[in-house]
Amino acid sequence: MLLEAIDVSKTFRSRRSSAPVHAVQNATLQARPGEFVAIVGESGSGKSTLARLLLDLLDPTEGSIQLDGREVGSMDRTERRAYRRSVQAVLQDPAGSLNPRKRVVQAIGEVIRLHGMARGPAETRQRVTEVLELVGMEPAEAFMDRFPHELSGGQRQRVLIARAIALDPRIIVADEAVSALDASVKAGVLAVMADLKDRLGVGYVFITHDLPVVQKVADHVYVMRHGRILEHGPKDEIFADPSHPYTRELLAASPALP
Amino acid sequence: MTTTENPLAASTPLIELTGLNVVLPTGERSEVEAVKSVDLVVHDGERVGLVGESGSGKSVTGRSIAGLLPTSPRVRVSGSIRIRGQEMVGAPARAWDEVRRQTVGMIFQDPLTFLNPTMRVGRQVAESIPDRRLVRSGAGGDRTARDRAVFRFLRQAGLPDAEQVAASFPHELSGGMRQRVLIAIAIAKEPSLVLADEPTTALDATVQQHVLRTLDETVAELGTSLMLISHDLAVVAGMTDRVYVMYAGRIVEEGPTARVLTEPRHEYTQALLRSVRSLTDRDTDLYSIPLALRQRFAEEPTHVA
Amino acid sequence: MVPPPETGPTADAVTEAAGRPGLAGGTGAAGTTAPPDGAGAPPPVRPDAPAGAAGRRRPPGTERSPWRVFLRKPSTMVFLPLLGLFVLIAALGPLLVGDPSATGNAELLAPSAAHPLGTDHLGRDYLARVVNGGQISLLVGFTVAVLCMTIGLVVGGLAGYHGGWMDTLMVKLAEFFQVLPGIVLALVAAALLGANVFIIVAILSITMWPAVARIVRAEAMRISQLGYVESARAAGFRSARIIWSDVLPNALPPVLVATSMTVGRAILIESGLAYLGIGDPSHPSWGALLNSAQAYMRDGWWLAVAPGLCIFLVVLAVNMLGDALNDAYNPTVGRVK
Repeated sequence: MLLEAIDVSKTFRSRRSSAPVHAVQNATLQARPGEFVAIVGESGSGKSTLARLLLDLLDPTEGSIQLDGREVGSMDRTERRAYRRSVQAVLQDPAGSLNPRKRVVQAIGEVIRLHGMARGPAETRQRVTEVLELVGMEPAEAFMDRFPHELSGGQRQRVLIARAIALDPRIIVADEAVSALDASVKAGVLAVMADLKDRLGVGYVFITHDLPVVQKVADHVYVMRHGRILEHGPKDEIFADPSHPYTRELLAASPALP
Repeated sequence: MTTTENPLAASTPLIELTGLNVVLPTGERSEVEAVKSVDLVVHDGERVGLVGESGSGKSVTGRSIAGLLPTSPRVRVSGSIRIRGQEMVGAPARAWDEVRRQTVGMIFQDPLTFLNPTMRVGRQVAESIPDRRLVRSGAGGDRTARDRAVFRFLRQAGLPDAEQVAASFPHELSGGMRQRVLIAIAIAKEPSLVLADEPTTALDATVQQHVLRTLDETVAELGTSLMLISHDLAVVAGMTDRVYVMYAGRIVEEGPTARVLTEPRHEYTQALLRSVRSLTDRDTDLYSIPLALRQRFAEEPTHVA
Repeated sequence: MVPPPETGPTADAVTEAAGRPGLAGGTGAAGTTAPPDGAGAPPPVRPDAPAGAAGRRRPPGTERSPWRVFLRKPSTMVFLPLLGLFVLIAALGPLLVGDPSATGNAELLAPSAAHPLGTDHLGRDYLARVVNGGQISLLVGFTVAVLCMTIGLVVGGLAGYHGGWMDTLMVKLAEFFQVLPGIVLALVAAALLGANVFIIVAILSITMWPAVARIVRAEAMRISQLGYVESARAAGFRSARIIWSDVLPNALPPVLVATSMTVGRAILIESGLAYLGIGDPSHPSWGALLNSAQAYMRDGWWLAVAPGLCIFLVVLAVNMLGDALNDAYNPTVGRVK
């Protein structure tokens, strides 16, 4: 399977300001199952817009998003449904990515039922238990009936990952999925993600401004700035020999411990 | 940079917390002991870090020093907060106003919350310049002197286009510029202590670096004390001489920053550092502090290592 | 290029007192009460602790349902029976109190055992009139509120979630109906169709739904930007389901309050219309009674007090119950832990 953004651009036109905003310009990107692709950039780089284009939450102004050569924009209902299943989203959670009025079991169970992954409440609950255990929330029974505000930040993030993997996706698009977390919790969530990659062959498009993390977990790196992809390549190449001055600046900017 | 020549200042710490406890309400009938018997000292001219994870009580400790805890009757503070020797626990609001006007200048994570969106930046800086400062400079309190001072503080806070920035509204500035405006507002008071709570957490890495350097230089230039509160050990590493590590409302370790970050004594600090390093070291496995360890740290009253 | 001129001690004091420090305190509380990861802060909320070991908190999953939380609130225990009593009296009372139009008693009798609320200027038993009036007032108040809430949720939800032309259409529509002079409309409708309670309900609903719809729309716009709505879209849910399941429940708090206010306003506006003679004079509502009592304030104060107190108590009860319901259904606010 291959998820591609081909020469994709997104321009926002607001009514008030006359100048259109070119959030993403001619971006080309490839992601595969089992591969950890990172998109690195700072605020305003267009990386979140690119994530939403990949998730079919926004329509590209130009270019296309394709899955195995099939353009997402021209998919029929059945195909799009399959697309939504195989490409999942984990969005940043400063408490906003889970409906505050839904318990964990509802939040995960509803997508399972939507995609017909389980029949009846008992089977759904069984599947929810499985995925919670997969992301290390054990015993699952202790978490299932909690509301989001009864979970810590790291736990909420894991619920989001559990919900994504409940549909057996091939690729997860994660937008700043660990940025707001403390180091220890961040390490825990990243370990879960890496583990799922190894065990289930899940691929990631991991969008972040956190370069050290990318250095640790990514296979392939794209560097974005002002809506453009400046350079990309295997992680070791990018970090060993960044060709673009901005990448060097980014690398130098991350504070390090003595 | 440890103490000034003033012998009185040397003997009386600028800030001295002794056995500080803070209880905050979390719901209609529940509360949390956010800070538990914390002892903490900041001397004149010293740079002190306060690190911890979210929920460790570091921000609450910082806010107690500035008298900025929520004003609910259910907030209970006990122990002692001495500022230049004066006991502030139970002190009237007026005394705290005085502390914030003269002694402690604060910088927060989210400048937009603390800048008035309808007021030009210049005026907001001007308002924190004490009259005594202008009078002493021989210029009186007139407008041009005040303007000049505003520009000077903005430049000092790393904003070379001071005139233009002063005439702007907060939303017209970038995140990094707003954070510098907060620095300007804080130093305009000529405080004895600059208290910075996660000042760069919301900023991009490249901007964070510049803002930290600005803060570093400004504090050095003015000879003010600095208390830097952060979850980011690397940020504290480069900016402070001495550091306190907090966990679950308690201070678990204190010492020279370089020593604490290289040879941590307390088990929690060791675990925390291990997890931080595991995120960057290429050859170590990702390490998350195990739940069992956390529970033990939270339960046993620890001696400061 | 020049900083603004006014820099007086007053402005200084205001900012110091009301501005940054105040805000600081607020965010401080919010920032520190979020549950930390692990055992960062001790109970009451310690998410990582095994379910059995949780401190003063109920084990997750055994919490009361929102409905039971609602029923156990002190304000519910007071105001729900009160409102129930009014509804019961309105429903069954007319069968017990006799004919409200029967004259033949002495005029303007003060309350007594025979006439607990006295008699009016035509010697009619006032208790019978108030009980019958309650039927009209409650019918109008609740029907209008339910209609407004329904229309408001549908129209406001669609407009706020979808935006674009739907939003523009809704805003224009709401403006049109809001500027429509309800009283004139009522007069015209009464002239053409006759003045019965259903016409009045229809006209009040037509002019009052925009207030609710606007609130729903604003909330729906805000919530549509949040991560969980985006996640739901990414998961492939249809928009109708997202609006129903993710947007509207979270928009409910201000809507419930607005709806409970609508009950009160509808009762009051209806009384205004009754004063203008729009309404069925043979079935006077509380509002109509209150208005006709004006002429007898000196000789028959009870004529105003009885319907006035009824309106006040019903509106109060509805508002308090709206609040309590919201607290109970919002799992993050004030749940007894």
